[in-house]
Amino acid sequence: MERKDFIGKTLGVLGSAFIIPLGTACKKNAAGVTTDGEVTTPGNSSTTCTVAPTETEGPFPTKNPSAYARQDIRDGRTGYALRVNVTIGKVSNSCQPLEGAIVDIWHCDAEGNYSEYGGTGMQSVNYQSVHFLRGRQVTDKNGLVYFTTIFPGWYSGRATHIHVHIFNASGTSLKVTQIAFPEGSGTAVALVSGYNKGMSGYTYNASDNIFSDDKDGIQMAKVTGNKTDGFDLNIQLNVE
Amino acid sequence: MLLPAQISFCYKKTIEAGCTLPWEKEVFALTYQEFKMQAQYYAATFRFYTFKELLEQNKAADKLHFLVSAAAISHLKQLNNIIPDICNNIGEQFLTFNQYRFVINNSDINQPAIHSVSIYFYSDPIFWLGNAGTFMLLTTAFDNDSVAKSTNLLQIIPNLQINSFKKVFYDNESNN
Repeated sequence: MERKDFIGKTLGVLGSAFIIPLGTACKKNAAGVTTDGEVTTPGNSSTTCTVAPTETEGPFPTKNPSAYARQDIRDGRTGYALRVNVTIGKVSNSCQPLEGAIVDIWHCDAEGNYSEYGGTGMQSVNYQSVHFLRGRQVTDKNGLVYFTTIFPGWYSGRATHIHVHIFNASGTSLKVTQIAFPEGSGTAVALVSGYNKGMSGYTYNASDNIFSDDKDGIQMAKVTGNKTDGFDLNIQLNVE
Repeated sequence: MLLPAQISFCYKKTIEAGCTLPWEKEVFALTYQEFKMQAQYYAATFRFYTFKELLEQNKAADKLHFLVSAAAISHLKQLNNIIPDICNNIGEQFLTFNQYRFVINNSDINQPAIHSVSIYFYSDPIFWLGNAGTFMLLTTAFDNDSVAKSTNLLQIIPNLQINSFKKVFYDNESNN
């Protein structure tokens, strides 16, 4: 099964999107970017307590996920700072925070490249940087994990996104999903403007194979901040 | 005349259930655990037990080599850029590395004894000056001057090979 198919079949429905109206304090230029560079359209993550099940075989004992666990996943990759805050809720507990869940994230760099395939096959790679922009954290009592990273770039055929794989504390896969970014005037995506690549040929959420059926915006994050101080991404993802 | 030459070595270290050193046992446990976690991503609609079975049903599972390798990175960093096991004639490890690759030979979600991975360590370039008996005379600094250079004597052992070779020419030599 192709990875895209697998992901598409396992995405859940969590709730509806809520778009905050544009702020009025800052004037916008022709590109829809505020002149002071602050996000005025952060979007908002869903608060609806629903989820589609994505569980697979398990459980698998997980003694200590620390070998792969790290908050700073940059490994030398440069770009606008981004702090990714993901809260995991448990549907069967009214979406209250789930403590002890293992959360993996991964995304592409400013040029749209992943750290995939490195160190395998016939090609050797530098072990210090091969897993750039990938990491794992375990949720705290508030169900929260956070990562220090850079704002993702984009590549042909996909909107800006971050991959997420959620496991329970025993290592059983609970959910594989992706985080979408608000787009349009005043958003972080507009501010970053695809880095050096620009936005020509960019695939917007409505045309994205993964996000286009997310009519309720359940994978949509709230993204605030600016290019100077960095951006903050917040989203709650709920599991069974 | 082939020597002197700039070469690099490749050392293949296989880690299996029978490993006894603490570093090896930890890499074994961490990569096995990671295999079981990451393999679930590629097996949403079918059952499998071994890595080879998983690959037969989903070619994308080939990415597991890379994904599982993440569990070993912290232990690679503990090596401080020194290739393990490979020693000079007085028992000191001296070959440095930055490049590596990681391969899952096989694994089984129910049988840890089946789990086997190999780490290929690629040494940084080093100069091969000549031979002393069955040993290679190596140095990291090479200049055609009168200053003494530190050297190491290395004997080729199983799973260690010369990975690249480039003839070095003295200033008064021609490369034609």
